[in-house]
This record gives sequence, structure tokens and C-alpha cells, in this order.
Amino acid sequence: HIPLLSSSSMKTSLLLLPGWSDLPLDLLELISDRLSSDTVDLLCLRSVCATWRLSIPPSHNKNLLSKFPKHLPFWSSSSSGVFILKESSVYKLEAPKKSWLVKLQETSPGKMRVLDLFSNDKISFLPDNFPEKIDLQEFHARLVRRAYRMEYANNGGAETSCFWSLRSDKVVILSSGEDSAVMAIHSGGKLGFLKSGNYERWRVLGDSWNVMYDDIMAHGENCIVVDDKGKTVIYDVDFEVSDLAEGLAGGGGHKKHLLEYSGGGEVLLVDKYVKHVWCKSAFSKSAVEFRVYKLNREEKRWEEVRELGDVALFVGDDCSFSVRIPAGDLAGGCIFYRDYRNGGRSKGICSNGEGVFNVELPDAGKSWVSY
Amino acid sequence: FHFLSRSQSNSLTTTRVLYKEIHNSTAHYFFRRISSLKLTKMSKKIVLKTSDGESFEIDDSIALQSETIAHLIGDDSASTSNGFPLANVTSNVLSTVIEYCKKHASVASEEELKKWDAEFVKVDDSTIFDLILAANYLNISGLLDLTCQTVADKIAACKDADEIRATFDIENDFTPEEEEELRRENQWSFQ
Repeated sequence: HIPLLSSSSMKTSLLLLPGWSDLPLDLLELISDRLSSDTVDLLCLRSVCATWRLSIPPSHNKNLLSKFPKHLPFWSSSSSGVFILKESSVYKLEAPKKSWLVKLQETSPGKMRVLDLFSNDKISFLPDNFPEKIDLQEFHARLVRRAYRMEYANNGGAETSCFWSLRSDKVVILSSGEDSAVMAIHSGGKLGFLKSGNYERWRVLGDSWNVMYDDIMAHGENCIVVDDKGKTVIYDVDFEVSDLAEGLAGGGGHKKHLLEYSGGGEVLLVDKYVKHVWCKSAFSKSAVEFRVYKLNREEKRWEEVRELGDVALFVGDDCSFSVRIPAGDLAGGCIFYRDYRNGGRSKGICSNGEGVFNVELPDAGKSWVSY
Repeated sequence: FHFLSRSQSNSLTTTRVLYKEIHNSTAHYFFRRISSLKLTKMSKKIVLKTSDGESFEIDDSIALQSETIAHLIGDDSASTSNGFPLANVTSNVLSTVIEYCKKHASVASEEELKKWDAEFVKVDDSTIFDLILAANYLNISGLLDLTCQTVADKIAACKDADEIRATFDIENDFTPEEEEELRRENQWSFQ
């Protein structure tokens, strides 16, 4: 009398089929290399299972800062000071009920210094409802933008901001394969660069003596540069340059900022106009207006943008970026910036309907945005 | 090596012997070169034998997209009377791989190939898993790139480790000590 094999005993005798946690390590590496270079994504992968944790290192070897020496030379070789490259990142922290947009600088692993979104000032007083610690497995942190800047230090080692030496302390790192370079705008409005392999001295790019550059921006592995009239070009890591757009009619406003539209593909130009309004009192107020343009790559020109839709733009000193705002939130379609003239508070401005952004959003004077 | 045209050779056996002479490592390069010139109609058929015993006969131009098979062809001792044995590939997976290779051997624009690739990877995860392993074993760089990128995109779309585990059916096998380590690693404190 042969007992029939029951279905449960059949299951135990089946070979265990290999699953994703048994993926060979070199293949796992191929996959993780294709993910963004953010540490948070790697931490997430490491939290999946024990095998993956063993094969994925905690910090990405694509960290751009590691490609450069600790000290970069100052603009003029006669000075005794140096520049130190610093990195900060803007993150969208999403918890089940609340979202925060913060700019962070990692001072040591896991310790985040909170910076003002628009400048690099440390925020000393965090709002009461902002958590002191978060668990990344519960709060989902999504990288919005990474920014690099140079801080000046004299040889005594003390770090002091040195605004007079730079138009903005913003720096763009270009990197492709083994090559890397750093580009920045000198206070004279000229483009300077340092290339890997030759960090002795800054060199100046561009041949027009009367061109003043307003802003630079990392775009993929390249760097987009705009001058104070709106003419825009793009440089790659070998400093091959190509035209992106001709200047604005009449040169436009006082300060131009480059931005990547949500998702990274489209490029925007935010042109800031500062108007002086004389009034009866002793003070003159200044009003700020923005016009926004979108890059038309085929026709190589900037096209005016009338409305931003559900996206908010943040225009800062070393980092400008865009964020998608949930529909219905007041912040959608607005530009946020820090108004240094009127007390240094951050403001939000939305469109007057004709493509000029000058209508102040009430309650936008926070140094954070929470929504 | 010498070319003998049919008129010069006296018998079929002579041609065959000469063919075998040509058929070694120096000619291996030449072999791959002609098959990449889609003009010459020298479509020799290659027979591949899967781990579950099935045989697949395909054009060499398609088979040669696999670096592994290309090396096997060049190596005389590798072929048996039944064709080239592929110990790590089942018939299901091989037929899918062949589909990919056939499309990528055909004349098509880059855009068309991209579109086709996007549709090709719309399969369940265990198939993608098998395809990655097969592409790695068979050393087909295009297919390996495509499948790895597909998985990377799927991972990037997941919100957290929980979702990744759910998507790929991976068990959370951390010990309590490891969990504690993870908690510390995943902590951000703000100053």
C-alpha cells in the first residue's frame, strides 16, 4: 500500500528557486551603479536584506567632492587663503502627514546641519514642529538638488565667507568618466575653471572682455552659463562650448538665474528686475519683479512663460530649483526668493497673469516651506 | 588562409577539410566580421542546446551577439553533435533572448529599437531576473544593460525598502542586532 504524496510534502521537496536576494553580487553592482548617486538611495538598498547589505557600500564612490583636493587655490596666487569645496543638498522629506523642504549639509555621517534654502546661513532655530531626528525608513527623503560652493579660508584655517572675491560662491562641478572640472564666476564677472590634473591656478574661459556672467548651473554632466544680457551657452568637461540661446531683447533685467524645471530636462531663466520706488518717507523701497523664460532649443532663444502651473521655483544664491506642489496649494505657480533689501526675509511672488511675477504671496516670509 | 572556389576543389571532402582549417581562432575573427556584414548571405545555422534538453537552431548572425557563443564557435572542442550546450539557460529564457537578438540583428532605427526594448521589458519580475542572469552568462551587453536599467528604474520608483521588498518578493532576513545597526545608519539628526 503506497501512500499518496500529499501536496504539502511535494512542496518541501521542490528546489528553492533563486530569488532577487540571491542575485550575484557583480550584477547587483551593475544595477546599483545605475541608480542616482544619492546616499539615501544606497541606504535604502542596504536596508532591503542581509545579502544586499553586505554587497552595497554605504557611500557611493561617485561622490563628486572626492575627486578634488581638500584645498583649492584662491583666485590670485598672491593670497595666502584657499577655497574649500562644500556640498549641500535640498531634500524633500515626506512623512505620512507632513512634508518638508530643507537644505542640508552633512557635517558628519548622519548629522545634518540645516541651512537656509536661499543662502548658506545656518538656521539656528528650528521650528517646534520640526523633528530633531528622523528615521529614513519612515520619512522618505527625496533629493531635489545638490549644490556646491566655495568657502574661503585663510591659512590660519578659520572659515570666513569672502563675498568680495566671488560674484556668488556658487560652483559647478563637471564630471565625465575620469575627467572632472570646477567652474565658478569671478567677482569681475568672468568664468574661471580648474581642471582635474591641474589644480594650481584658476584659468579664465571665454574671450569677450566685456562679457559679464550672471549665473552658472550644472545640467547633467555639463555646465550652462548665462551672461547679464541673457546669452546662454553650455560647456562640457573638455570645455567645448555650444550656443543655447541668444540674449534677451534689451538685455532684460538686473540679475539672471538658471533653473532646471522639475524632472531635469527643461531649462528656465528667471530674470530679476529691481525697481526703486521713491516714497514720501526717508526710505526708498525697492520692488522686485521676475520674468520667467523657457529655453527653446531648436530656435535657440528664450521664450516667455506666463504661468508656472503646479510648480514652485526657488531662487537662491548657490542653488535654484523647482519643486512640484500638490494641486490647490497656494505655493503652486510661485517664485520664492530671499529679498535682501527689505530685511532679508524670504518671499513668495506669483504671476500677475501677464507673465510678470510681482504679486506677493501672503505668509510666504518663512525660511522654510512646509506643505 | 586560402580560399578555394568550388571549381578548384575536387571533392566535397577537400572543401570540408579546408573549411575546418579555416575554422580556428584566427578565422574566428573573420567569421564574426562576415556575419556583421549583413550583405553576404553566409548564414550558417548554429544549434544551441538548453539545460532542459531543447534544441534551438538559429542564424549565426543572431547567435554571435552573445560573446559567450562567439567564443564557443571558435573553440572546436565545444560543439557536440547536438550543437552547443548552454548549461545555465532554460528553453523559455533562451527563446526570449533569441527574440531580443533577432530584433537587434535586424535593420531598424535607434528610435524603433528603443521603443521595441521598452515593450520587451514589460514582463514579470521573475522573467527579468532570468533575463539578467542569461544576458550575463551569454555575455550580451545590450540585453544586460537593458535589463539592469529596467530593474534600477523599478527600484528608484519604490518609496522605501519595504516597497522594494514587496516588489521583488524579498524576505526581510535581518537579525535584531542588524536591525538596530540599520536604525542607526538610517538616522538623520538635525543641528
